[in-house]
Amino acid sequence: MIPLSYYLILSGILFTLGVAGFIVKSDLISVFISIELMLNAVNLSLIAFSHYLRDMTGNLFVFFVMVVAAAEAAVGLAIIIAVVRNRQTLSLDEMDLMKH
Amino acid sequence: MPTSLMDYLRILPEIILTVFGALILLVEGAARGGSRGRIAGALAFIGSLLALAAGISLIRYPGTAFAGMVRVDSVSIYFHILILATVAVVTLLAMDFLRTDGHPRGEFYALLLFAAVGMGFMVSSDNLILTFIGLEISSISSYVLCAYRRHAPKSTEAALKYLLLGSFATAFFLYGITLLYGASGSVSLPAIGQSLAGKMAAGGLALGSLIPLAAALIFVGLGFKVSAAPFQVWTPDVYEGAPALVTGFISTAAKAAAFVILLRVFYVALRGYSQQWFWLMWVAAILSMTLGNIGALRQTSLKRMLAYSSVAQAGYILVAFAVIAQNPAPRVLPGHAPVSGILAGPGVGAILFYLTVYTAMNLGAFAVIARVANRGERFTSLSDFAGLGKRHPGLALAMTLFLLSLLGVPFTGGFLAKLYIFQSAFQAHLIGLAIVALVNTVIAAWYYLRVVVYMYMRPPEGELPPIASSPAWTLGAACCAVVVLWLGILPGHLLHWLAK
Amino acid sequence: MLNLQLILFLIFGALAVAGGINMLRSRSPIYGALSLILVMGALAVLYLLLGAEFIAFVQILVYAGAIMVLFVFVIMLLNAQPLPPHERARFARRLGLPAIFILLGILAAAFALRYSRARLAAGSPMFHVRSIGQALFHQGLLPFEATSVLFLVGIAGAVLLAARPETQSSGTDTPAVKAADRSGL
Repeated sequence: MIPLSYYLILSGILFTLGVAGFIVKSDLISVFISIELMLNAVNLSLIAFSHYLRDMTGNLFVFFVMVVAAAEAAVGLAIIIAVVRNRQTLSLDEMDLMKH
Repeated sequence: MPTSLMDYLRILPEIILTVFGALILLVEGAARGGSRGRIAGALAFIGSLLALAAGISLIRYPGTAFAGMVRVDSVSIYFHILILATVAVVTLLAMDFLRTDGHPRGEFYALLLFAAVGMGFMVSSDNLILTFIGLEISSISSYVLCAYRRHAPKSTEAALKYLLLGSFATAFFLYGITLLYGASGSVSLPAIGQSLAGKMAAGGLALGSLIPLAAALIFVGLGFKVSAAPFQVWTPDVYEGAPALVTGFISTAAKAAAFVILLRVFYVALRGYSQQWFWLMWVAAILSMTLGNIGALRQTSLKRMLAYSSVAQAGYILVAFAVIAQNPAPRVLPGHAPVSGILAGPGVGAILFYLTVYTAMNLGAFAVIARVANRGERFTSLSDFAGLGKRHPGLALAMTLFLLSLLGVPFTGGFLAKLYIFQSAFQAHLIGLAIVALVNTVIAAWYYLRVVVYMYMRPPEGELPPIASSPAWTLGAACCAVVVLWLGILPGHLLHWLAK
Repeated sequence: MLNLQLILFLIFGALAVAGGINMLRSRSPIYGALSLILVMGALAVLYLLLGAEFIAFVQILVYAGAIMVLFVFVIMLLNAQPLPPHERARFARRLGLPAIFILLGILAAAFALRYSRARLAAGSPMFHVRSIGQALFHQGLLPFEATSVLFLVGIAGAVLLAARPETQSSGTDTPAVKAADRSGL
């Protein structure tokens, strides 16, 4: 028997790592990957709560999160490709066309 | 519970929009050369008008659908009408614009309609699963729309920033929902409200309760979406880089839909905790108004200036949210809430009125910018607007009207909208907040009036290419202007309706 | 039984954290993506422990299998190289990271206080595929239908943005407009 808090803390750690990656990373794809890690962390919490509450909704929600993540990844990567075609760089620090 | 025809009637606007969006994609695949985009534009306009009619007809079918997923009440009907009218106006504005801009792609309209589908689900959702899906449909469509001018580095860069910060915000929103689910055992808003109210009655916040955390995380997520400070950092870059009409769309309809989620989550699900989230709204309101207005002062790009201004406008709306938190309405039993029950609280009417006026004036301002900016969107700086009063009196007059309304000058909708917000703040004894809002309005006068001064009192700088005439654009902009004036001079109808 | 579950949790939880840390540490996007696949695999095992067999399989098939393959594919397509660390990163580390770890501390403390006594039952499959399917098409029917719009958006968006440049130059697109576009609005 594992306490629920173990799962939740693990999920919190993963979410935090994702946020840290989002802030620290300097290339577009890694930043986007960090967001995926955050979503995975949320999914773990949802499944753990779902198990704890003996309620199906959490499982259902995770299914939809995955669907959304797939669509987001498709569009996000398309945007990244469009940016790289225009700018020939993946560095987030060079995304400064609008700093006056 | 099997679904019935009634269930589908209650999402009829979304169904119509989806069908027309798919139809546009099909037609666009077959169209060649000059007809590209033209048929799509016409289809989008027809589709949005039909959906608008369906949205109005929802008045006859209040209630819930799809086992409590959808709740058709006065708020959802009101925002359906607002959002669908916005989409119809944006299609009008875009029709000639896309062609002169050299990007006649019908996908633009399809994505516009799909974004509206997402917003429709956002405003009528009573379940966080559907709220989440709706939010993502509208967000992902908006990301693509921002990158619509995909060979322009600024456009794609704006889309990239919107995408990264938007998805980041979504993750926070989701984490908040998860904790709320863990604390209450449900993702249905009325059920969460009931469960949390029961917990509150049983002895208040337990040590280590997840609810304040959940509320804070949800607020971070939605704060990004409505560009409330301190989560507004993405706004200037995205609004400046995205095509002007897209900016007009995402700064009005998308923001209004996100405010409805904020309203439903905090007002329905977290209503028992209003003393806790009051401070969230209070701080965010003051920060948004102040940072937005101060940021706008030194901008030379009009799009960027209006981006900061829209942060400030979000701040005024958050003042009304603080009012709601201060005066929780008489508790209506969840599930038994009368259709107009959500409107009962003080402040809610002010929010609806403000969002309506804000949508009309902000969209109008961006429509003028899109027109003056001309093909390639090269002319968006303040100096490009110098002398506009002589060269294009009509455009200058429209811009003046929208800017004065944004500032809140009497006889424009913006004046009454601000008045109602300030009034409700005074009535709720939030004097400090009301004074900060007033001071901010005075600060804002400087940068709004500066544009007017440039348009009428400065000589034109340099040669600008002629602006092609566009009847569709004129019609669309006229709609915005009429709404701004109508709500400024004869607001009685709407106010009467809101009071009901 | 008790120990086996705890041991499995510790092993795969540690793997997930190791993957996350490795993603944070590595400069190269491809290592980041591969670390994330490790995290996803570890999480799939945890989902099995939590009785969510359907989600565990979908996690492997869709998340690790489809989404991450897309990432790896794009990384290869763009030939993404490791970037040197930048000013922004150093600045963010100094300011942002402490704030994040405070957030983690609050989260962990809240979880530990609130749920340390909430034990989870042994992990026999709790949510069968059949019941998930039933819930999906009753309770979740509308969101399920709405996701089809989401995918339409995804398809239309990806086609609009990433289509080959040649197909873009249709009809009214004059060279002057394109030049104006490129010259930065």
